[in-house]
Amino acid sequence: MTRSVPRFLLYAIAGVAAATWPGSVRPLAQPATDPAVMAPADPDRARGLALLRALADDLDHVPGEVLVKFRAGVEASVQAAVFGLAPAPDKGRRVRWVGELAVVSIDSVARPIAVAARLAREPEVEYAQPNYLARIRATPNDPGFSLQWNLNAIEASRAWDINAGAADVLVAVVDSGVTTQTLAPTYRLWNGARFELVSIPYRVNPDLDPARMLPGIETSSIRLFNPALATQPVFDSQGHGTHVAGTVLQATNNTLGFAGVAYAARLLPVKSCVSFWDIQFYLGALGEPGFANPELDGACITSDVIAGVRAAADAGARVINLSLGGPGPSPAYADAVRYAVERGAFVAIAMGNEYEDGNPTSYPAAYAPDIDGAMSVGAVGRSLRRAYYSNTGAHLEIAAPGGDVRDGGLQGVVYQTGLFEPDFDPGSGFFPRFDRYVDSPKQGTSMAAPHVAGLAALIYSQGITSPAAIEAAIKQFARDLGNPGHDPEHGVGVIDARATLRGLGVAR
Amino acid sequence: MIRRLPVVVLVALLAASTSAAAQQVFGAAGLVSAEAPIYLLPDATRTPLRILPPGLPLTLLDRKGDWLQATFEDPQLGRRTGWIESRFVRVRDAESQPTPPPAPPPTTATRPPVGAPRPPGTGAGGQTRPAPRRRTADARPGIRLFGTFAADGMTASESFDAVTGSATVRSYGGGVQFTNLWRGLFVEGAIERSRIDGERVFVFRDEVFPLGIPVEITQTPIDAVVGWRAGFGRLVPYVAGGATWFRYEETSDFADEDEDVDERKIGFVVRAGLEVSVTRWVHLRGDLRYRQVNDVLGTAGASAAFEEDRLGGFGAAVAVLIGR
Repeated sequence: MTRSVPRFLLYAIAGVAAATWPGSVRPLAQPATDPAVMAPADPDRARGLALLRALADDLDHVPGEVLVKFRAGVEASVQAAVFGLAPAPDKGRRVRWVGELAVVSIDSVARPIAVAARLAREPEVEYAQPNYLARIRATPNDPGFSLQWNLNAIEASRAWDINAGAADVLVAVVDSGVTTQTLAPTYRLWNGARFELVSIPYRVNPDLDPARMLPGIETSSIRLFNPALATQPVFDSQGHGTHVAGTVLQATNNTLGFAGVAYAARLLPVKSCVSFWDIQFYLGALGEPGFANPELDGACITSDVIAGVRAAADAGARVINLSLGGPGPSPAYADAVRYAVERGAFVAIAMGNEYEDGNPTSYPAAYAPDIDGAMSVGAVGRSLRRAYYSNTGAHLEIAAPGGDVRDGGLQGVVYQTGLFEPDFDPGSGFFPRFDRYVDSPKQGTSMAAPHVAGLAALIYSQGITSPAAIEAAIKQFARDLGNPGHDPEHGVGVIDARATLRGLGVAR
Repeated sequence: MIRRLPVVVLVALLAASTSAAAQQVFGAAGLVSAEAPIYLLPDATRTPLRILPPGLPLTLLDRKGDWLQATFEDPQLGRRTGWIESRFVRVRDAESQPTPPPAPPPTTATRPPVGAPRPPGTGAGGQTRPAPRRRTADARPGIRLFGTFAADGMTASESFDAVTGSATVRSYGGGVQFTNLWRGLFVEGAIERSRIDGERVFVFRDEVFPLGIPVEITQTPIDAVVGWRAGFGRLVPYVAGGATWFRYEETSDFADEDEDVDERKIGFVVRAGLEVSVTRWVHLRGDLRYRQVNDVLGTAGASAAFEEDRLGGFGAAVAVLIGR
């Protein structure tokens, strides 16, 4: 794992250089004169700083917090007693509830893993765990060819003859967000030498139909700590959510950009993951000079993801896409996914991209086989072989195109209309912009999962409304790959949208 | 148990038809066992039409209590119909009827009017000659054409119900029947056709999700059966069985050519029913039947989901037959 300090120093040096030699690094957005940047509330500030330090230290969980779920019927006084078993922070204990899950603050020097283990021994506690960090699951590539072999691979165009894009089915993408309004909010940003008030432009993806996009939901702690950010529309400052959402439902037959699997569905963006710039905006709001660790780009806190999944289900989403995951076992994920499924939402979950890094089990994907209505999704390349990075295991249920640069080069990855990433690459400047869209090539199980989510939306629109039945249909009509039947590299095979939508006659 | 019910009904019907054949006298032949009067109506107080001699052959038409309605050859007036007490009649099967012995001249209770012409076959003294043996009209080989309407409850009931909304299939058809080839033996060839519309589905844990994709199912069975008709009166029970050549077609929207189904298989069919003669040339028929064809269903589609692998099923049919 790459440590963050050298890069941190590098960016600091870059900032000093920029301040010393004006013009050497050109701001991509103009300084603003509007000082409407608010400081975060004090208790959140402490937690936010602790969180940022943890992220900078490359921890896999949030320090000073544990997640606790009690068994049914435990009284508040008993809960308080259980909380009392954990070392309290100096400023007093805070408990925040995400559904039935308590996010409990503990002493920042205590080890959350040990504290969670202690709390889990209490008979009233169903489980306790650290508040793990997950990562969004894409590996970006440079712009190049605009071939959507991936849609042909799943027979999408012929599926659209049967169902024209899953009209009005609500699909939630729990990710880094999707920009829902064209705006230029003002942020206080560190330029390497001092803070500047900068207007950062955001623009709605021109290949997403605004009429099919809901305002979105914000569950990212880092942004919620900052009242100024919390009241803003949902923005994507990372690009991942935009690409994933594009695969699900990018506008089609509009002579622009690329197609999406369920192009007539409605999008509910849920921002549960943060980007480098989200953290940088937060540091600026806190008045903390310096730069965030670029490795933090795309971090997703378990409790934020859980809140996002629950919020999506409560908002009526019929399909939820989770192109994220991490190595920390987290029963809270399983609970959240079950919560969504019980409310009628199918959940597609990326398997993970670490096959060549030890092929660790990734969560929440590992819970999917135990939940009828949620599927773990691995990636295949253009020749329908497992993508080199795609995690394997007995818990893999289905495969979908995720792209594989080793299988066809840049023609073998997944293209959608996405943000122009050099505009906001942490190393490219002090002030980003998020208003330019290009043909965006990416690969990853993050790209595979939205194919399944889009297909689920088509299936729902066609008449299969139960999440468990949607999963069964996807499996039944998948094209078998690799060894006959289920295998740990491809699950039951690659999805076939047309065959799934056609369903069954009496004899065939 | 419910699936076995049609079998029980069919067996009961077969048993009932056999019993009815044993008891009924319609169309049977008889012989006068002793000199006996025959009347216009079953009433012994009436003046007899004629006193019949022993051994005179009769064709029995109906029964009322101790009376039998019969036709006989009147030596003067030709074929006549009257009622005779059953104690004077020995009932015989029409096909096994031996050549009757020469009948003695009947004792005439009534005499023809003076000067009336004598019918052929009568002697100067009004005695009856032995009647030449001839088969009854119903017992001779015949040919009939027929049209039929049928309703079949499909054995793959859950599959058909899921896709078409009903497990019952209605069909129309027609055929040709050759009767009385040997005793009550007949052979028959028939073709039927049914077409039902539905929509494709997905089945999950026995729950059916309609997908709104039109599907059309056409079934064309061609039956060749051999059967037995019992009796030659107006009501004739029968049983039959044979082979069915079955064509099953299933087409749907958005299908490639190789995705539609067009299967041809051979199975079997058994039938039992009752035939009613409306006139000498027009007959009505009702029957129950069972048809079974394997190797079309059960490997894919809803039939695989419901583990149903047989085409065909129990059905009822009515037919109008034209011919002798």
